[in-house]
Amino acid sequence: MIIESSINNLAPGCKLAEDVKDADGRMLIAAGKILDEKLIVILKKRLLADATVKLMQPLTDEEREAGRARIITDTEYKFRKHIDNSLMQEFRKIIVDYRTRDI
Amino acid sequence: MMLDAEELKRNINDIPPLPVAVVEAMRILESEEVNFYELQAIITKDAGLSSRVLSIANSPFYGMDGKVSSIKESCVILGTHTLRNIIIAAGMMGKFPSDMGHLLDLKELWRHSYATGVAASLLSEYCGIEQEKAFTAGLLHDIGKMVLDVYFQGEYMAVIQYCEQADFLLADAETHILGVDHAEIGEMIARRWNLPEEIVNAISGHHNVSEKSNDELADIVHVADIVSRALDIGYAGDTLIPELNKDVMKRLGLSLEQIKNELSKIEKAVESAGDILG
Repeated sequence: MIIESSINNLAPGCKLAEDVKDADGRMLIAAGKILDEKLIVILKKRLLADATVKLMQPLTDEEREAGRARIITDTEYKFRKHIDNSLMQEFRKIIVDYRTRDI
Repeated sequence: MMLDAEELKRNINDIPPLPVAVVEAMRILESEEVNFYELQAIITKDAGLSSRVLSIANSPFYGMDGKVSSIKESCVILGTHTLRNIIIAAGMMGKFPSDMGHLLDLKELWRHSYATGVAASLLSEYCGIEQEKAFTAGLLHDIGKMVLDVYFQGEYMAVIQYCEQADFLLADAETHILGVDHAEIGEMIARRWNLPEEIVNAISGHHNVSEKSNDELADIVHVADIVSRALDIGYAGDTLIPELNKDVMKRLGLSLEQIKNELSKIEKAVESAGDILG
């Protein structure tokens, strides 16, 4: 979900959903960047006071859990013929840990 | 529906050869003194090949980051050895473009293949294998699937149906229905197209690793294929993952820990490959 936020309401940790450009169309910060204090100061300096930016709405705990569960299930399905193979099971765990690292 | 081996060979021989420019460029790059002017003239005559060579040369894998703007420059900057690998890759990608797939999504298969090439290259650093060779071998390991999908559609339909119904790996379903698998078909076409012997062997050996104890390129591609599938990059045509062969890991001196260290680099390299994959 994408939400629109006034630059006055930005807080560190917000993730940009779209590129932010200044009034002349010059790129300031690319989509996907997670804002910190420094970037928020830059945005406030370079944009008009009433400007808004598009942000990714943070995931809820339930959404996070559902995302993790999906990766675990998908990976188990892919490894379904190797249930008794210890090397493959160790490899599966590495893959699950890696793919769920940011969730 | 077993295919008669002789008939299959005949049919493989009916597949059109590689474009003249690719064959000529490979010939020039094999000679002792490479004539860059001649090479440039041949490659630039084929606009498709020319643009693919430049986009691969500028891909993050070769670290040139958009700096190579002409074929002659690519010869000088990258060297003949690298350029030969790039031309082989470009020639194959031109032979099986993304929109040519029938039963398989060739765009997704090329993504899987590219990820396998990147994984093979990154992992080969731990094993003392030449990285570029590993990349090319990984990139081309599934050309047999492309040949079957594009030139043997009727037969391949039966394979794919059986693969889903029996819950098999595509390679096992191919052997069951056709009597040969994509690794063998890949070997035949790679030989017909005069690809370097070591690449031919890696293509033919990437599933039958237990029988080949001294082909390190086949070994590294075997591992890279599995890593690329586990990361879910692209689609290799089936929903299973082949078994990681313990002897191969031992032969290569490779550990799961080392594979783990490369996972994010593999994903990033594929993400930034962009439009090379069509």
